[in-house]
Amino acid sequence: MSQSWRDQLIAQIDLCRPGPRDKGLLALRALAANGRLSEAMCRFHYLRLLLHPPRCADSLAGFTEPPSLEEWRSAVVTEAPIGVLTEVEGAEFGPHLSDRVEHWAVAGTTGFGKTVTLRGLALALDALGRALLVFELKRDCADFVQRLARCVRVRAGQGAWFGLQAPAGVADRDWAMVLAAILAARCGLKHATTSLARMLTWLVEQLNRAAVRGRLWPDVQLLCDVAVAAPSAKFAAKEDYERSSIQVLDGVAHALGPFARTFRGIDLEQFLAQGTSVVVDLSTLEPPAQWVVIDVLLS
Amino acid sequence: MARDQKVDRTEICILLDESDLLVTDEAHAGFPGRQSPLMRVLRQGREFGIMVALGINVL
Repeated sequence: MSQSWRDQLIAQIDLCRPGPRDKGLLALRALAANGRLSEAMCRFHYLRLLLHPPRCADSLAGFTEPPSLEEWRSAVVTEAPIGVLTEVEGAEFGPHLSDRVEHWAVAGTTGFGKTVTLRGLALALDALGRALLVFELKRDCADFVQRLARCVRVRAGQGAWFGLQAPAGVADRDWAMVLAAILAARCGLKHATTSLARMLTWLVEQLNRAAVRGRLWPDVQLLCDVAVAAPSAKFAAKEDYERSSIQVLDGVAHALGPFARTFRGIDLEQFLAQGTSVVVDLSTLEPPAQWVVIDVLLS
Repeated sequence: MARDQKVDRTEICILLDESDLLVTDEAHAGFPGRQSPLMRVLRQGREFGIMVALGINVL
């Protein structure tokens, strides 16, 4: 750890202000008040409290030195380095894969390097044999097919079809509720959920009366057509809800376009289970349709 | 997740750049329990070896 950076951190510590480790802070204040510890040392120790809460939260024993470089390094060790920390000399930066699962939020302003960081993460994960599911909203992952060891890229409307079929092991009725909630929520018509779910369940029953390999699920356009043609209040308790459902379906069918004109889409889970990464290019769709696809695939 | 297969290592990573609009409060508002599919994966995915990496322009 660079000396200047550590000193800056320590200088920012305000022993008079309550912080996340109040118990330790109170003890340090008491030690400083009775002259047993200098204020500078109290600052060192409080920094250590903040950095190592599991070991030091309730005890001040062994506080003679500020965190060492080795302590810093052990906190940031990674098996998939994608860069180095400027704050800690020699410490590599990357995800922890073998002993824990973590989420990342890469936040920053335009030009900060968010996309570059995520691309670095993708390459590091791929090098360790992890499968990736990449949602491409701006066509900036087109080269992943060449750069990742095993990767397929599906592009909305170009040889890839987005079906609504239930994942393996999920009951039709449960999946219908999930889909209905997504469609209704993304169109801001929450009260259409139940009628949409009923409609989906009914249509799946109709489509699968004859024995077929796998289950067929209606596309959004068919759902919309059935909603328009169905007798009033067949699926909804109120006529308003029926109208809301048609409004939802018409909007989603229009937004998804030909991409969703299928009764059975590609099963991405098969690729991921085999360790093949999948890039889903949604750049040709508008945001509400992008969200619906992402929601369905994440569900 | 559907198979309830719990692991303690990262098996799959979901990458989502430009995800600002998917992490806002409004993005979850219409879902039951205010829990969108992304929120559900963020909350429960770690148990199932699913890592999520989001690119966000504004916090």
